Amino acid sequence: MKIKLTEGQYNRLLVENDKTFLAGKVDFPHIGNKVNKFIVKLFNYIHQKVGTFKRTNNDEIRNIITRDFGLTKGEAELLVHNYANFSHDIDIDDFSSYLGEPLEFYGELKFNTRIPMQAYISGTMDGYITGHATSVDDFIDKLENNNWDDVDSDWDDDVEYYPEDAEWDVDVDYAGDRVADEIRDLRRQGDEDDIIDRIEIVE
Amino acid sequence: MKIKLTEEQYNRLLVEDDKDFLDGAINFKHIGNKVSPFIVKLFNIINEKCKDCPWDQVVGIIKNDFALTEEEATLLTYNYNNFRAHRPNDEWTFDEALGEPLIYYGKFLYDTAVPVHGRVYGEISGWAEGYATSYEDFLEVLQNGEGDVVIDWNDRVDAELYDVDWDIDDDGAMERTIDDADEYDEDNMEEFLNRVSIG
Repeated sequence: MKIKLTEGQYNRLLVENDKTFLAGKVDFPHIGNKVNKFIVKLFNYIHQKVGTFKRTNNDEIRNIITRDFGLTKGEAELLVHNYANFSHDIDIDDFSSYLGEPLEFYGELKFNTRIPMQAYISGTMDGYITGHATSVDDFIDKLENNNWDDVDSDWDDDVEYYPEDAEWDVDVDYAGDRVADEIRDLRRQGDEDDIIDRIEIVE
Repeated sequence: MKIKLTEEQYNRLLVEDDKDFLDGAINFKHIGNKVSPFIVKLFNIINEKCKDCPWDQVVGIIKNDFALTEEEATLLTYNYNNFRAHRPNDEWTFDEALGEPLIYYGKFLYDTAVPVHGRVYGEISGWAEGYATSYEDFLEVLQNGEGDVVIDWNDRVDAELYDVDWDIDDDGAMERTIDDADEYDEDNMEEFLNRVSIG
């Protein structure tokens, strides 16, 4: 398949950095930062197979890119995003006109932070069971048959517990809010550099 | 109201210990361990006034109308119900109970270790991750609470373990007490009695 370039597209391909994203932070092994002939071919192939982008065929497109073209998961995520951008609202079957266009970065980033956790821990403390009975024997029977009135503890006593047995879970309700609050606070304090230092791009 | 006694009832009233329950462990201020004329009168009044009332209401009437203690009222309510339960038809009067021993019914307490549980909070190292087209876009993702939180499980949770709100684990207490009581029987009462008090 031949692809025709305009003079502008040709010149841009010659002089620009065509490899990295996010000011050199991200560099993929198999694709650059612009639509090249290979990507045009890939987009055309996807269109042939699944048509225009829909939310429902997102996974299928990603699978085609990794399986049929041998690209990485990160590259596939980025190309699906751009395929969606290019074919959004228009039914285009030949992506040659996008040759030389910049690809928009789309990838997984992570922000290092502290995660709030919660757990139930168990222990024992001195206490007592009370119940009504006609005799001590009757009371033993009631204890055995779970027919007592109340259980209470001496709350002045210390609890014996084993924190190493705690099963920790993320405090999900609070975790999202906490990250959002942390970002807003850092921005308010003008600590944007601190935020950037704590962000990593997931390869 | 006059109450007639049989000779047997009269003799029993004369010679027996008519005060204590549970081998002298319990002694009430206003009632003894047998049905006295006062108790017959009390049972008759309850029967007229509140024959089929719920337990707590009968206890309340005995406490308030006869100025007895909660413990005395509880024991008498039990015996009132017990007397009636053993005489299902109406061909009897409470006079028949005069001199009969009252069955002890009161509160026992068993010392044990109570299982408790509490919620504890802490922090661990981790990160929030999400897909974005740029750092700025990623910040928006985080600010909107749309990031996924991931934990570094190799780290330890920092937690303030002295600050736990403990609650009794009722289900655990139930199972533990059943298992505990199962170890005692009539031949092995001494240790059990050391852990029981009557209140």
